[in-house]
Amino acid sequence: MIVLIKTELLKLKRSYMFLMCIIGSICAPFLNWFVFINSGNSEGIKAQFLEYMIQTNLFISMIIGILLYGLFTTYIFEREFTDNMYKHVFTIPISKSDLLISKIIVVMIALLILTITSYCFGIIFSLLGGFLNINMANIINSLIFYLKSYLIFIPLMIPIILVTLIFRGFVAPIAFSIIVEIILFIVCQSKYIAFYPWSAPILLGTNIKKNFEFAMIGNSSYNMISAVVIGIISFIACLIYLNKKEIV
Amino acid sequence: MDIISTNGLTKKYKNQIVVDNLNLNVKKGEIYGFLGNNGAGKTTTMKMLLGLTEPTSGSINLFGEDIKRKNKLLKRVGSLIEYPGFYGNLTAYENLKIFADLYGVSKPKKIDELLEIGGLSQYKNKLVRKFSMGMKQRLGIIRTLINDPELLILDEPINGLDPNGIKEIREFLVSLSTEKKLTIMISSHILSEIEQMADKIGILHKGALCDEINVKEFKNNVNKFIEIKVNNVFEAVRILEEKLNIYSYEVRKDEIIIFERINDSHIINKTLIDKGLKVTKLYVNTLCLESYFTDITKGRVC
Ligand SMILES: Nc1ncnc2c1ncn2[C@@H]1O[C@H](COP(=O)(O)OP(=O)(O)O)[C@@H](O)[C@H]1O
Ligand SMILES: [Mg+2]
Repeated sequence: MIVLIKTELLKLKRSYMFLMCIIGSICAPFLNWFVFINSGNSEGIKAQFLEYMIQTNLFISMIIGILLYGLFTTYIFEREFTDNMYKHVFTIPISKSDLLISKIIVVMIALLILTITSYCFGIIFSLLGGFLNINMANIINSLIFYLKSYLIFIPLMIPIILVTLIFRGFVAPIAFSIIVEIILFIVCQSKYIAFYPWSAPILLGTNIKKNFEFAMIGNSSYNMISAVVIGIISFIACLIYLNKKEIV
Repeated sequence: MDIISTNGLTKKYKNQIVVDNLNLNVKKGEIYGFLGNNGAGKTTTMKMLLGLTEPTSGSINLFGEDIKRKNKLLKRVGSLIEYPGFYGNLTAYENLKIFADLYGVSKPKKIDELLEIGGLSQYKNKLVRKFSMGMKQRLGIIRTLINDPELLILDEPINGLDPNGIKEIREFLVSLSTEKKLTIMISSHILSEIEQMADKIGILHKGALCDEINVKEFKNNVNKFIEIKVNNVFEAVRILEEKLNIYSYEVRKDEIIIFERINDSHIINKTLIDKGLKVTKLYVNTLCLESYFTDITKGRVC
């Protein structure tokens, strides 16, 4: 297993995709920084650090996570199709389940790096902008928000893996992500937000639910659980698909 | 012992029978040429041998064991199916390293050795994306050796190589089989590519094994015949049978093809002339594998 993970990481060497994703994960704090800098200046007071960090995480949870993290996940599973590698890889006596798990672990590692990158750049931009209340408590608080969204994003990546394996290529998983995204935009503004698995990172990773509490049906544990359930079901489906279907 | 043996191996895709009741036997140390036109079912057969695709029916034994216990057997096999794939963003060395790691081969020198053998040492750190077709083909072939296999299954490995490259690879494969007793199954749609190295050639046509030719034997005997052209075929045939006891012959249009008493062509000639026939052509011909293969694939033989 360690060997599989090691080789997966080696395959990322010189890959543009990961570089692109790093740039994408810097985009979120960067774009938000402009919003906060300007909003602060107009009233003469500086923006709040924690608020900026949470807004940035909302941006990540709503857009970056689903689209960019999804794209990266697709890349990890798709490249053996583009490079025409599965027919070679599967003649090596390795277990398909181990291969699946090691690729998921690599996705987890990569998403953690991307999350931490966003977080660190958030702090750097806050310092540059001179935002208010950059203290230890807020730094740790915001880290917890980021990590919560990160963790719940992991099971949500697994349906994308399934789509990638079945349809072999970038088109289907991207279409899937876009549909998920569109529904998210609609659901987010409704009281049913807790019922949509893909809004879990938002509910867990931001304090947006404060605005919802009176109107929202259910609570964030609903979609946290549904996200995990979807992850598990997709994982099992991936295992069955890999072991039953001939991938060559 | 048979390294590869299949029994009634069959593969259907929807209604199309792609591989039809194949009984293959490849012996230890043998180079088995698997010849067939495009679409004959070579790749599909090899994929089944490697467990990449399930047979519709029939069984496969590798090293005398059923391939249902695939993982143990695959350790002893090296394979290249169709065009070799590589991770383009990695160097030749890194690509081999990935496979070495996955096989659990921990001899660091092995990769350098293989690159040397493949004549790719100076491209060790070049990205595979920038490799030419022929270079990739070589890299693909040496990759199959990374786990020190006892059996190589190579699907059209010399496609896309220049004549020199073909010659090199051929000599290399022959040396593997003679020195290391490696068993090699190699497919091709071009006879001349494998004729000079194969011990045995199996001819696959529309999924069925039409013939298995022992190359040495074929070259030594079965392939000679006498072609005769005379003014009266009917009379000539009578003379052949009655005077010379020749019964192994065929009449094709105005020609007679005789398959026996090859060395007595002068007697045949004299006898026919003495009987007053006009012999306009008498020719001892060698049936080459090439035309035999063409005959088969045009459906003339099976
Ligand atoms: N996955 C598949 N699905 C349906 N038909 C296939 C598939 N793979 C191969 N075939 C068909 O099987 C036949 C034999 O193909 P193949 O084994 O690749 O031949 P060869 O390698 O001898 O050129 C072809 O007619 C091809 O179209
Ligand atoms: Mg083929």
